[in-house]
Formats: sequence, C-alpha cells, structure tokens
Amino acid sequence: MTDDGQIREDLNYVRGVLRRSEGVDNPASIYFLWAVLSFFGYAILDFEPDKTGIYWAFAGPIGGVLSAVLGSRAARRLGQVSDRKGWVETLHWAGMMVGVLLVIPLVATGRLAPDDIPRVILLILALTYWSAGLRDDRRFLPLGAVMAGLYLFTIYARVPYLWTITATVLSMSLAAAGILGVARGRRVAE
Amino acid sequence: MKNEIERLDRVLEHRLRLAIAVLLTRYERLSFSRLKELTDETDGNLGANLRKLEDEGYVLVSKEFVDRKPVSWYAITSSGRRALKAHVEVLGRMIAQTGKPARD
Repeated sequence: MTDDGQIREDLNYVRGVLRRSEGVDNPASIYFLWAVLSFFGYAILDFEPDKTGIYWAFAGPIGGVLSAVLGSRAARRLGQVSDRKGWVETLHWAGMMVGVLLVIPLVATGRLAPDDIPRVILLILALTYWSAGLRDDRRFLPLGAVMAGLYLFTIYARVPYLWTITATVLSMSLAAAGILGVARGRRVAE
Repeated sequence: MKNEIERLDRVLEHRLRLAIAVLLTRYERLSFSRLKELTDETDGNLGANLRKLEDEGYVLVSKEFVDRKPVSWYAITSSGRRALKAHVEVLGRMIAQTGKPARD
C-alpha cells in the first residue's frame, strides 16, 4: 500500500543511502605521492634551478598518470566506480596543468621574470586546491590556504633556502592531509 | 492521487530497490559489498532485491576479480534508467499534491 507517509519515509531512506555514498576521500597515497614530487620539485630551485623545468616536464605528467591509476584502483577496491567523478577529477587537475603551461608565454614575452614562475604556480595551486576542497574533498581547503600563505611567503621573505623551506611546508601539508584522512577513520579507499 | 499510484513502477515501489536504482544512476558500477555497506541490508535481502531488479531487466551484473577476490558489479540498464525516471516523475507529482517530504 502506497500512501503519502510511506513515500516520505522511503524518500528519506533513499536520501540517507545516497548521503552515505558521498564524502569518499581521495586515497592517501595520492597525497603522499605529491608530497614527495613537490618536495623535490621546489627544493631543486635552491640547488639546481636550471633543472627545475626538466624535472617537472617528467614529474608532472608521471604524477598525473599515477594519481589517476591510484584513484581508479581505490574506487575499484571500494566497490564504487564513477566515470563522471573520474572525468571531473581529470578535467580539474588537467585544467591546473594547462594553467601552469599558460604561464610560459608570459615568461617568453618578458612580462614575467623566470624567477617568479614558481610563485605564480603556487598561486595556481592555491586556487586549484581551494576549488577542489569546495567541490569534493574538504582536506584541500586548508591546503589551498597553505599554498596562498606560501605564495606570500616567497614574495616577502628574505631567508636562505627559501624554496627548500617552501618545499618542506608544502610537502608536509600534503602528507598531513593524507594522514588526517586515515586518522579520521573516514573512508579513504586505500 | 489514486491514478498516480497506479502509474508507480511496482518493482521500484520497494524502497531498497528504489535506493539501489538511484545509486546506480549516480555511480556507473557498484559492488555487492559496497551496496550492502550503503544500504545496511543482509546478504539475503539485498541479493533477493538485486535479483528482482535483474529479472526485470533494470540492472546488469558482471563478475570479476579485484585483488584476487571475486566481486559482483551492478550497473543500471537503459530500461532501468527509463523506469526510474518515470517512477520519480510520478513521485514528484504525488509530492507536489501533498507537500514536501519530511527533512531529517
């Protein structure tokens, strides 16, 4: 027998089930992967700045592909596969990479000093992490704030090993986000 | 209201089957164990309701190994998607007639 009260109850039940399916965090391994890649990618600026470009030319795409593999594997292990989510993630992070590539014409035409490239990338990272936090995984919100703080730090701070300090804070923040997800006992499909 | 009740899909009238169909439109594939976790149902009850949806042609099941463990994956079919859409439209009209569903 279907009546109004039954329909309300059923819809609330369906809503509850749907809510439980949401809030699946990215696997911690992706955070750890980028913590390592970012550490070397920024610290290299203090020691071998000329090799930064070549480092990211390989580390960026390799990190992107590995992240996609880790995310896909985690989804299969969890038993919840969403092609749509996969596409949204791909477009989001690919958009960030395109943003980074679009900085090159600024440098090529002399509108931006080469030394400022990593600062601009930090700003792009801050915005990308912030929007990822709003869209999906809340752990990206504080990461976005940390990146914005690092962006300002690299502009105003006059300290030796500026980029190594930046790299350490950046990678520790990423690692902390990964650890936090596990520690909270949330569904981190690992 | 009575006319609308008759338009409801009998298979999707069951709230567990409705929840499964809604989940499968949100996600391309869900495993049996994930569905069990989300719906908090017993193996027997969940299995019986999935079979009902499968018999009706609303869901498809495929089996594969993930980390050397057998996994049953469920996906909604186009007829299942159509049936759900029609069912939800009827529910929407019924709710519009009687008021919004209670919030948690």
